[in-house]
Amino acid sequence: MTVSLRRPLAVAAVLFVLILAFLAGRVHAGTDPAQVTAPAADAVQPATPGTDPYDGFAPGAPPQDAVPEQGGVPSPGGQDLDPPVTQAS
Amino acid sequence: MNRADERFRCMGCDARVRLESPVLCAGELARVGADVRATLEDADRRLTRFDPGSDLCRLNADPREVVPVSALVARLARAAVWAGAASGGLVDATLTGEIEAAGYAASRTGLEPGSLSDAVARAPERRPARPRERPGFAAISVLDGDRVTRPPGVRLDSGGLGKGLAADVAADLVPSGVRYAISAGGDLAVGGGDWEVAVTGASSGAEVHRLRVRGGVATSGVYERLWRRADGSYAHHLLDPATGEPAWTGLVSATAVAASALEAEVLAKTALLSGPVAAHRVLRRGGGVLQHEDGRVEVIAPAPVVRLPARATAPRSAA
Repeated sequence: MTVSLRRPLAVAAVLFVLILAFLAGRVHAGTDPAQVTAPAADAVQPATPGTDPYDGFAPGAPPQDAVPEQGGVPSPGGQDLDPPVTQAS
Repeated sequence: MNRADERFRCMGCDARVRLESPVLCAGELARVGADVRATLEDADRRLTRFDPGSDLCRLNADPREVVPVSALVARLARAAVWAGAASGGLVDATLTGEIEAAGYAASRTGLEPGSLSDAVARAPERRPARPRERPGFAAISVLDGDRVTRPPGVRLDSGGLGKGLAADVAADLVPSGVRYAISAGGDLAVGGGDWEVAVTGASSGAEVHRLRVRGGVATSGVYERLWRRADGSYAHHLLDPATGEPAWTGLVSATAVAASALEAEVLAKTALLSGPVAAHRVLRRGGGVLQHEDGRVEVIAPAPVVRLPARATAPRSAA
């Protein structure tokens, strides 16, 4: 019995290590495995409405969404206390 | 790290120049900042449509078909042609007569904008803007970088294009080793590294989101230049080219991220004029922020950057 279980367990362990190594390689190469299967609609993140009828957040409140890479960064405790501002021109 | 930070009024808006460098001393940074400011102010003088003596007004008033122009006006003309084509005709810089007829014939500097909530309540049916059948920008061309040809009567309006262009031109002056953020009325050219740029709310002016940007970012909105007409209706400066009337699409603001301030300006205006549905597609590449009439703020994430494994991109050795 012990002998018959040893081989499947060994195969499973090897497979686990291989899969782990593959995922680690993709992350190292810059690809988030989660993004591969994420639906495109997830890219749009509706904000939580705040108290201002025209702003999605209460005045002064930090943004409540986080977007990876260049799309944006969450700002609470952000490094720049007086960042450049883009406003309607 | 040495820093320089200067704020001033330019192009009827707030301008700001931020410079940071571990290489240049404070004096050198101040000199770069002064050059950048002078460039923005020079662009303001040359591109305003509210001074008959400006380069732009002289071009617009010239009865000749081929007109010698300054290098900056030539770049603006090129930008107008490109923007019109790239936006499918929505960003039309030749709607000068229409914007004047809508009530924006003189500078609105110092004038309080109208009530956004009131304007939204009284706005006509929402619909995406459409291009003109024969847009004026299609008849413009630039010869040798110093002459513009266009049918007399076709007049250019610098508008947001002028701000984006000015920010990009000023950014060209910044030497390497300097991290910079140059804002010309909210159109920003940023470089030397990533910058956090705050997006403000359409009504309160409070920060609603931060974008991480390298290149350019710009916002197009109906609320800064918003006025009430004699008939009680509200108007703003973002026109539907097909009707020549202010566009009410359901969006009050669009912010776009792109490789340059000029590109971001064109994307932002295209997104706003396209309306809430098509704006997603417009902003998908670089990302951005949409603000709806009902107060919703939507953050559009940029298309993910997929990096191939190093072994797949390495050149093959000769067999």
